[in-house]
Amino acid sequence: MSAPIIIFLISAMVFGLGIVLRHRPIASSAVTATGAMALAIFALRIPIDQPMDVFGIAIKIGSTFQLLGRSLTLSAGNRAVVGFLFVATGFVFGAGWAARPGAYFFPAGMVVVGAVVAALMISPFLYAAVFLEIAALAGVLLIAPPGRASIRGSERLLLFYTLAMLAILVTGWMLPSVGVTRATPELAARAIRLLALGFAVLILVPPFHIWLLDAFEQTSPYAVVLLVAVLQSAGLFFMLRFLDNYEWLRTDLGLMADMRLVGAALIVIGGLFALAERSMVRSVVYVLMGDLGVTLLAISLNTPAGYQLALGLSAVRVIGLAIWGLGISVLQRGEPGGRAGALAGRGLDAPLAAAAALVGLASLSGLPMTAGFPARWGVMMALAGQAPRVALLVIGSVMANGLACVKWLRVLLSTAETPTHLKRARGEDVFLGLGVVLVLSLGLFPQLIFPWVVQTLNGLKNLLL
Amino acid sequence: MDSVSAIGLGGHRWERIVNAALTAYAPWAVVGTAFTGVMLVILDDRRWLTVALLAQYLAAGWLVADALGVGVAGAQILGGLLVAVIIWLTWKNLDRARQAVPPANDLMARRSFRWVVVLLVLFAAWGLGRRDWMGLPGLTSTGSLGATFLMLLGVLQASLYRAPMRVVLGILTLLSGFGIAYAAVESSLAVIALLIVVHLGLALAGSYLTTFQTAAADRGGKR
Repeated sequence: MSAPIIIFLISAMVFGLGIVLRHRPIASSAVTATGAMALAIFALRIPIDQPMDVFGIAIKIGSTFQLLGRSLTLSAGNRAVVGFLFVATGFVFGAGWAARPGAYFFPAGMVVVGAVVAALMISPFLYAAVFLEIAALAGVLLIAPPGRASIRGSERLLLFYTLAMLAILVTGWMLPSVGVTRATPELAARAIRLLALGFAVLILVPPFHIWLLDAFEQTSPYAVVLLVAVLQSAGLFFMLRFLDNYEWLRTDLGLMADMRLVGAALIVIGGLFALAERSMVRSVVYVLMGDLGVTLLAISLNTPAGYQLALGLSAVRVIGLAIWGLGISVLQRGEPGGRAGALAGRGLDAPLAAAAALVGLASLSGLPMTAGFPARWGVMMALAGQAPRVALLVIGSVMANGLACVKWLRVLLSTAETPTHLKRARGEDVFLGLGVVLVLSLGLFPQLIFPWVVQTLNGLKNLLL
Repeated sequence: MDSVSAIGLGGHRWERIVNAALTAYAPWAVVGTAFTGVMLVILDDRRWLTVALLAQYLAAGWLVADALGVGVAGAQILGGLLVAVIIWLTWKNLDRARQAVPPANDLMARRSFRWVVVLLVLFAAWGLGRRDWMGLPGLTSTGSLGATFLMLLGVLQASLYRAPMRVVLGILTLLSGFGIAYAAVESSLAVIALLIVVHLGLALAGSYLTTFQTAAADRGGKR
């Protein structure tokens, strides 16, 4: 039996259990989180293509599964990132019951992650675009659960991801077939334009972020967090694989300069809008945009350290988003949309939820002492030598986002005109507290996560040269 | 050897005859793509929308057959039939099959406005499609025209309407147009099968969203 088939079977089993237990959130959360973690351990630890002894029976797990002439492969090149995705999913599922994201959150989330994992394992990797589209299709179940559907967000998600798939498929055909290289500047420019369109959608470059604004406002933020964390991480890794595979692409100085320009623009737009927004959930979209801008700056460094920092930012983003999502889900209970008026005073009613939302936001903003800070500091230091003004922009973004955090702190601690009493579940505070501790611990001890993140880059050997 | 010929499609005598006939009359398929694409934007009656979608899959399949043969095109048309069935059943189950799909706002509701926009897009597609704007070798002039009509009309429809099923119909039209162009350069059965899965997935997503939107509207109405 091959590893991709085993991953598929376990995922299907977890999906089935998620369906069966859909009306029992705690059981569903526990089972799906355990399943995702088991998949992570399998992806990271199981010996592939080597005989092993299990209870006296010799078995060998193959790395490849053939499907209609294409192959799905779990190899040294992708197992770390596959493992990372399952760990991130397990982490989000584990606290999912407290956020009450809907009965189908766990099974739908498993389908999304399964499709993204297939996208990471398919070879030739260009077909990953189709699997990412399938993940977006399954994502509709996450952001449009019965009763709280974000219809507009779902429509936009489908349209944008379809456009991305088409752009990447055409580029995928162009690169090997037409012989695009540095020696064919016209073709190269065309391929880069198409790729830029595809990746702009995948990693939420404006205006392709608007589905997220709709989704965050209209449905459970926690469900959107899972979708955006998984899709954006996959999009980023997909982009790195392109750079790894095509030497002319990663040595194109113009491309790297453009990427830096886009990154800087995202930081400025994100910083300004994060401050101006009157809804916390919309504010977070712009903080996320700024974070993405910093990630693009890290990639534009075009050094192994730069790529490692980009992946590091991606990893801590998942943690920051999940903790924020958990906090805001509790805070905006009964009053979705995250408007300042609705959130006023709720921090006094649910201090740990407010702390989780603010610490998560602070981590996404890259404030010191939080998980998001060390990688951002690394990017800034690396940029200081190459482009000092852009490095200053990173500081500016941290400050602007910090002001946004202060603004939301004031809102949450202000006195509400009509005091509310949030309905709370037993055990919720434990998860909220643990989330806050985790974000702060990773801020103080980044060595807990970064060595593992560095490992995910090992599969992309050309980027490490 | 590409994967289509590898599994023996395109080798039979009758298939060669059918392929030759389809190629000879391909301009009619282009007319079909433009006509059905326009109807999908203009019409509001759900029965006729479903018929137009099915006819569009036939026209697009015809142009795909020009590049990949009848067998592969047949699979795509079968996928299209399933898509049309899903969409029709969704509307039928809502018990409003005879009612019109509401457009986005008052301006969109005016059919005259939609005709003006559609004609503009048709002219643009005609101008663009006759040139080799996609730069795909192997894409015939008829294929290029048909693909351009569908892609532009699909984007138009997806951006004109707010009803989930109309947006999905637009995306499906866009995807059908892309399928015609992509068939000229990619004959991998895996990709074709995956694209059919995407068509079906989009139809299911549209069905799901339409059902919940209607349920929410009903709840709002009752209140």
